Amino acid sequence: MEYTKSAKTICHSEGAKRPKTRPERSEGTRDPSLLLRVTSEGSSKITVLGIGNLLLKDEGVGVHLVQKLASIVSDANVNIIDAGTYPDFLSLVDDSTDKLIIIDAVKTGDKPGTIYRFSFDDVDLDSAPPISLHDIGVSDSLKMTALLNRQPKSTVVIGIEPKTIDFGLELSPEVEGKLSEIVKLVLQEIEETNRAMEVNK
Amino acid sequence: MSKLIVDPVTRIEGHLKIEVITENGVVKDAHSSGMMFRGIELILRGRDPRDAQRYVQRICGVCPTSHSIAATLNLDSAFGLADKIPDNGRIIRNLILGAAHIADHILHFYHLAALDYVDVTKVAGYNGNDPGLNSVKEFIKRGELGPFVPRYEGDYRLSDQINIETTAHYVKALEMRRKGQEMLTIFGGKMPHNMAVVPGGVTSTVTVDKIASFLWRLNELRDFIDSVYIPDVLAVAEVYSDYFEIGTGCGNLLSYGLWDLEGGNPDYTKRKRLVKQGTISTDLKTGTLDPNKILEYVKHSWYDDSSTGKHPSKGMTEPEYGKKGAYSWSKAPRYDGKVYEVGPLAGMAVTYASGEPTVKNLIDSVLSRFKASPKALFSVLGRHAARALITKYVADSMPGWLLQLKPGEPAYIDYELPNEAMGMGLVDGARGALGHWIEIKDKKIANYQCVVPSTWNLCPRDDKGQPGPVEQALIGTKIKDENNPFELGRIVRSFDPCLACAIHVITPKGRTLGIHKVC
Repeated sequence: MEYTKSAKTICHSEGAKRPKTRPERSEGTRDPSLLLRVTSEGSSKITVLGIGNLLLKDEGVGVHLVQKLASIVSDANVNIIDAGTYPDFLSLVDDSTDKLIIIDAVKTGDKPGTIYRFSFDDVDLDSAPPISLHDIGVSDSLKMTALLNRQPKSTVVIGIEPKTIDFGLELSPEVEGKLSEIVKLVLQEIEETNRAMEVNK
Repeated sequence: MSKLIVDPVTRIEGHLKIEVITENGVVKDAHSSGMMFRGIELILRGRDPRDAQRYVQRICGVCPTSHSIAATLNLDSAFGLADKIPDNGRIIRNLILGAAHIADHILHFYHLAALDYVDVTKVAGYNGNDPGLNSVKEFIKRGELGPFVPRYEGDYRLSDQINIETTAHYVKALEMRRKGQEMLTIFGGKMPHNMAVVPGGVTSTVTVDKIASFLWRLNELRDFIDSVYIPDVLAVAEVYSDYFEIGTGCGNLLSYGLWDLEGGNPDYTKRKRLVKQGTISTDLKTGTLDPNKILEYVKHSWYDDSSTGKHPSKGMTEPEYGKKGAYSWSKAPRYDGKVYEVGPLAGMAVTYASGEPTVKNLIDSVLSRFKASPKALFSVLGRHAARALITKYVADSMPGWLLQLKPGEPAYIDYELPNEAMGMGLVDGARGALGHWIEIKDKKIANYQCVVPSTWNLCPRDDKGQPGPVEQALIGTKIKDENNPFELGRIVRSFDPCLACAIHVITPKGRTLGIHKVC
């Protein structure tokens, strides 16, 4: 999908590539509407979803990771999505997703940088009634996909214990130092899913 | 006398806390506390001004689109472009913001507010073939009420049949939200955090294919709004009509207006907008919008007192947590020294009072159905009705905008970054008046301030001790059962609060057995 390709945020500040001031205008560019999938045909089978707030240091680790992954993964089977702080990813995940890999900060109180992997069934689903949009969290979103019979066949969360959640763009060294390890883990997850799908065929 | 804490936001660290004091079943006092420091503006200092539009969208997961528009209007005005945006760019921005509002309002009614009135558990008795309802029934059978519970029990009044029908619409509305978001991506490129809205216009091009693709989804949404959403809001209003008199609040409304119908006027407070700018009070007296009258007070907020009474363009963010007498991270914005509520109701009421025929018709038809006077709009149900009607108003306007688009013509104008400039961007987001202010020095951001809708609605007292709009809406409310204060939940939710921004850390609790530490 076109909008998954633009997972990278365009920034003008130092450390980021400076894009041309004049945006693309050529008629030859791909029209995103044509790429919007409205049926499940030909959808990607694996979706990697990064969740978090880029402005809150380690809270944004999921987004940092999908931005990294977007330049590494070229598998047409894999959708990489920067869901940012959007709590409702229902509309971002394709109907026929076999595997949803969610990357997010996960707080259990363990050592910062600790990496977790758990299937969605392990997350506590007791939830308060949503008083605000932001309360629709990961578990509610997945429940809503289930209500529409559109839930991914399998969902795993790859989580990282944050150290600092505070205003700022950079990650703490404890979390930053784990990024390549997590990337490896996600790639492994993708590979295993692909292999399992091959076998099922 | 007893103290109740309405804090259903338990799961994510309680960013909005509402505390009320009751006496003989009546709310005597209320305190609304924003529990999260919002110093995101500080991050922007020293950056390239063009970054603002990208970063501010990240403030909020639900209103990124509104922030992108406010930031871009702000930058347009700072760069001297406010009256130079090509029509294609102006219209595409309208379409993007319109799509966001439609998806948002449907979500608010069905997925946040309706559960206060609709008893989902009645679906347990459903014996039919609707796959959505059977899916809900399965959930209930498994005791997995997920997004539906716990709820405040005790006042469900709809018939079983309407409960079941509305629950089916709850499921249908999930589908519709998705359509709205797809519509947004046609021109926005991506959702959340669209990439298209930039100073100078938009980066997307106009093609006939995009117009057709947009229109196709829009038609489906309009059908849903007319035949499902509005009838459901009216059905709820029919049975809960006492809520036309509950939760009135401060009685002053403020609208920045939205959806620019002309691009030639650089003054956002004066240009022609679909939903109009201005103020209105319960006596239906209107006023013109003058942003110089906006000042922010901090006596009861955790900020240094020296920063009180400032205009947002001169705003300071000097945190002082634990300050005596303070109880919120939210500042208290005031207009002309008085308390103002913001939201779709404000825009619709101001437009109604201006005599705009479409809005007058829409609102009058609702009021006459309930034999109510316009004053009844200042209420819990008034807010829900205004939200539904603004959704129809914009959705019905969008086909005309699509026809005004000119394929192949520019949607963007080039510009020079100024050395020094001031800017202001005003627009109503889905939750109301959203203002951004910028000061540029040496081509860098020297100051950036946002005053967001929930700061208006959920703010604490100001320096004169005047309670904020939600606080005022709660004070005086009769509570039937203190263990189940559903009245308060309904009042707060009617404002569509948006304070629990930004944090989405998963906190596994209870069953942690399956968590594998990888390293």
